[in-house]
Amino acid sequence: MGLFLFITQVMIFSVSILSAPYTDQAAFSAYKFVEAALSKKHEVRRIFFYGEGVLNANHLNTPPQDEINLYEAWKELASSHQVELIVCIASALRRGVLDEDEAKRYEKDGHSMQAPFILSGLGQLMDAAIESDRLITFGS
Amino acid sequence: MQKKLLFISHKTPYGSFAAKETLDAALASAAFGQDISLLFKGDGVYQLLPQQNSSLLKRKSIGAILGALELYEVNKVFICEQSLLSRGLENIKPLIKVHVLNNLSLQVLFSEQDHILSF
Repeated sequence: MGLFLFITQVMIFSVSILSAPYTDQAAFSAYKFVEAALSKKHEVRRIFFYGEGVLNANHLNTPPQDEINLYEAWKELASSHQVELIVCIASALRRGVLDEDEAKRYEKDGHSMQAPFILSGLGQLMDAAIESDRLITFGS
Repeated sequence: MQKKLLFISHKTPYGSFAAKETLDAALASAAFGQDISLLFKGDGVYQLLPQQNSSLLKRKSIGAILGALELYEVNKVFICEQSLLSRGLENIKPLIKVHVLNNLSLQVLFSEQDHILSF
């Protein structure tokens, strides 16, 4: 009889999210995917929020307490697994997702984004594509 | 390291910002020296219609951004034949030079990529 060895190959994933939370299921599906990948000991290097997806990073999102708080869920992933949460700055500014620096720069009364979410450019999406074994897109 | 990346654009040009944000991403990755292909599929084929007038919508012209593809040396631009046929657009003259692909050729295109980014 042969000896069967089950070797799990660790993969590097990155995820890009194109949909707003609470508009469709995509962002939540992305969260569940990342959770599953991490639980199987894969590495999730970066989550890139693009287009409507940047609305996930708005810390003013206040869903009712008996619904999933996706914002808090993303934050938790960042702190427990060091997953990078990168928000496309061009998409974000258009949609009112500004961190403190950008709010100052554009002379706004308040900001709507903060760490662990980080504003950056499309280069971070390219870098994720180059550095990861798989880049998975959620939403459209 | 250079990777083969296929961007799929499948949204109408002005119904949302998705078309513009797809092209922005494709141009950015071309600027990063990646091996880029771009495919217009589904409603994305409407982006290639000539004589767009986006000024009425106070929007930047998708046609003008398409013109920038050549400057960024994105030359592998494809359009899905089936999407054209099902919309009655098979006789349009696309704004820029595109290669029309049937379903079989699409399969080959997909299989050649390292990553597919669908917007």
